[in-house]
Amino acid sequence: MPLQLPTRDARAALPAQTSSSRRPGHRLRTPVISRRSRIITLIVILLVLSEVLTFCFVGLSVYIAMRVEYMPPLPITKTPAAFGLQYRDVTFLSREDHLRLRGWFIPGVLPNGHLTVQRTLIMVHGTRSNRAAPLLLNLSSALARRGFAILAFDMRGMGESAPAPLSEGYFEQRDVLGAVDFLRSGSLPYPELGRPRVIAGWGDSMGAATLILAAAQEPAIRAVVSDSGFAAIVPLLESNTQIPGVFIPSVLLAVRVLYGIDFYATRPADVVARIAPRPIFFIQGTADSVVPASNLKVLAMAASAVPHAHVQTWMVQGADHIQSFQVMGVVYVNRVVNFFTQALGPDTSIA
Amino acid sequence: MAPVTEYPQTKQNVRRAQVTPARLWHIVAVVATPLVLLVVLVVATLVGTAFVRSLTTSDGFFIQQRDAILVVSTGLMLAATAYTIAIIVALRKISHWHKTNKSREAVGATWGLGMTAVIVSLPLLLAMFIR
Repeated sequence: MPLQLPTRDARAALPAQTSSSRRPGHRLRTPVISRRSRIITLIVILLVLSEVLTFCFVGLSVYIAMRVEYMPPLPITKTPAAFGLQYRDVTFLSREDHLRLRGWFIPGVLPNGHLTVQRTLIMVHGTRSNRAAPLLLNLSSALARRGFAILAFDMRGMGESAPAPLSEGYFEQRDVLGAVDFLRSGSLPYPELGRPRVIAGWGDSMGAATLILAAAQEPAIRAVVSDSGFAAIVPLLESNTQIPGVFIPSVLLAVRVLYGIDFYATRPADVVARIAPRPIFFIQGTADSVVPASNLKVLAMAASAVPHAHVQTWMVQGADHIQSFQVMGVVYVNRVVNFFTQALGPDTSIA
Repeated sequence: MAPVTEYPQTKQNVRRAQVTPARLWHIVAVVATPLVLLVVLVVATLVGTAFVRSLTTSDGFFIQQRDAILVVSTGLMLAATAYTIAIIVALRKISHWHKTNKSREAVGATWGLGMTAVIVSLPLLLAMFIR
């Protein structure tokens, strides 16, 4: 009879019978069974580990997303009255989702002391800030004294406006568009001054990005000043945030699921060209530690990519994030006033 | 020379050596059930969250956030529970196959579960290594 080798399965099945027959009363684990049970144990450990780690990872991502998206707003600590300016509190709704937004309407002051709203600027603040932020309030006051009416308001989730998640411009652009609607057809204070002849905007950091996103779809915004605006938010989140890098993609996904915010779509550089031929002025500090100066170059290049673009840039030497006004003082105000005067024309009520 | 060992060609041994398509599908079903359950429940959670978010838009941020988180956490807990139960069922099936000498099925399913563990870890692995 020819030699017949056992199959692998037969070998696996055999030793249990032979070992027990060889050593009655002793139950020995053969090498095959031991190897099999080791593999199964390993697979079970892998399954448990993978499940626990993955669900912890997802749970932590959801928790971080919640913490990142909403923080209690900073209080309004100062008003334009501190600068000797007249102003009125205003309330208006954001476009599309109709959130209640609170702000100040400050009429411009002409050299003869008369008030004017002919050229009205929408002032858009940055992240975790409000209309009473020192930069915004100081600049608003300086521009109002140079004859520009000011609409300074709290974006959603900040100051006294309705609570909302922070979306770095994705939803906040609706607030700027709501401000435009309010100036064009809302119940403005100082009815004796009429309605604005032209509307323009100034924004810093997230406010600048938000203003660009809004101006790209609203031709009523006739000119834009972008101070320290970013070209795209995700690279900044990846480099500047306190969130551990491993969680960034999952937190962004959790934010999208929980709040419907797509940070990957918050890219002012993709839409800035639509602002042309309306003029746009980019300001950026060379020592900006939050939004690298390269963002200005990206935005300016994108804005100039179309014919009839009117793009100005100003790199302020040594200025950190949104510090250009603080560093340059009256020079900053003069350059911004000159830009807006060229873009919007003079106030005709002086005559 | 006498043979060292001789194993009879029983019907059982012949059946063990072959894995028919029907038995292969059975293995695949046992192995894939946990992963399919997990994926279906996670997708349902995502869709449910988006739906709840759209329903609660007018109720304000805090209510919208509370409801969305409630749906997400409930959905993920359900998914984790269903996945765990499906894994336990699959492991019992593997153990049964071992006891009934269907070691081909048992080994295939064991490695299939190993692959499942790797696939479930993918979000974490991708976040760690591909950035």
